[in-house]
Amino acid sequence: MNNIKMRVKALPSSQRGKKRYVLFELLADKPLSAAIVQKEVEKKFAEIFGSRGMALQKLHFIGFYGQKNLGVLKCSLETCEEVKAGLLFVKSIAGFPAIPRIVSVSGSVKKLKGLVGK
Amino acid sequence: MPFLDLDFFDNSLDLKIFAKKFCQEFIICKVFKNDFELKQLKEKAKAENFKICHLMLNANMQELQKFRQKADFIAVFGKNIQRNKFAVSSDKVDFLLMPCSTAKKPEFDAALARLAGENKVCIAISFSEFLNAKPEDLQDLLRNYIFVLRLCKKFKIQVAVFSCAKSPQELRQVKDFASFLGLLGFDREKALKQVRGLSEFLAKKGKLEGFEIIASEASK
Repeated sequence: MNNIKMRVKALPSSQRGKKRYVLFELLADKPLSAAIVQKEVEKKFAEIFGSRGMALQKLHFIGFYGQKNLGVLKCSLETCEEVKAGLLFVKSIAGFPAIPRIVSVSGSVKKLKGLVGK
Repeated sequence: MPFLDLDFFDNSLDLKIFAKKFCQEFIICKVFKNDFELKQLKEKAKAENFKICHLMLNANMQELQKFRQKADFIAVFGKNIQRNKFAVSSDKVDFLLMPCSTAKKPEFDAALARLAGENKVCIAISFSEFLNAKPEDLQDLLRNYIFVLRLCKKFKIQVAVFSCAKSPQELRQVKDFASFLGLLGFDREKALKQVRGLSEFLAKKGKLEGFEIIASEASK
């Protein structure tokens, strides 16, 4: 039993593909919850791009800062523009109107966290 | 040069807030029935530095002549071969708004695109139509506009994407529309060039004289 590998060896970074982090703002009257925003964004993306499109985008919801209504999405570099366009199609969150705005795009989440803190 | 957005509502308080937030200027677009209506809105908009656009729903030369000098811009609503032909045949028209509908056969073709290029008519896309489209209509709209933009690229026509919002909830930052153009088949550089180049294009047509840029939040 001891010979069985318990962990899969991680893919080298050179083969993982480049990623981008998109910082977006949802202009709404009240603070929004991360879970609802994630659900709504994923639903919209599935409607526009479909399952295959979303798989190619390698979409990953990093987080949402409810107090400022700022969120971070991770995607692949090649589909970054698609993801930005897809975000524009978000109209409402849980029935409340929300206006999406792309704040910034970065290769590292650390830089975006700095922008959120400002 | 400022980013320009065209919308269908005239609540100047809301527009002023969003102009500052999104670092852009607004063109208020309406179907004016008479001069008085236009004059009233122009006076109201003058205080806030907004421009006025008259939207034509019919291919009517008399209407074009009447509003050409009075409104800052003239837009013709497309989705019809006759109206499209009328819009691209005259250099007095500034925007051809939504040349195509969801129809299987697009109402815009290479001959019209060539004319639009020659007469320097900008092809305007209303984002709100995409935003409010049903899923089955959205794919038809996307298919038709991918085709239209392919023609625009070929004939070097200025393309503009506007919010065309009927309420503040439909407003979007014009800068972000470069990504939407990317979705319709433009590469990133060309999409950015189209979005940034609109003001320059209109300035060349002599349409942006005395246009002030409001200091934006981002530039502070």
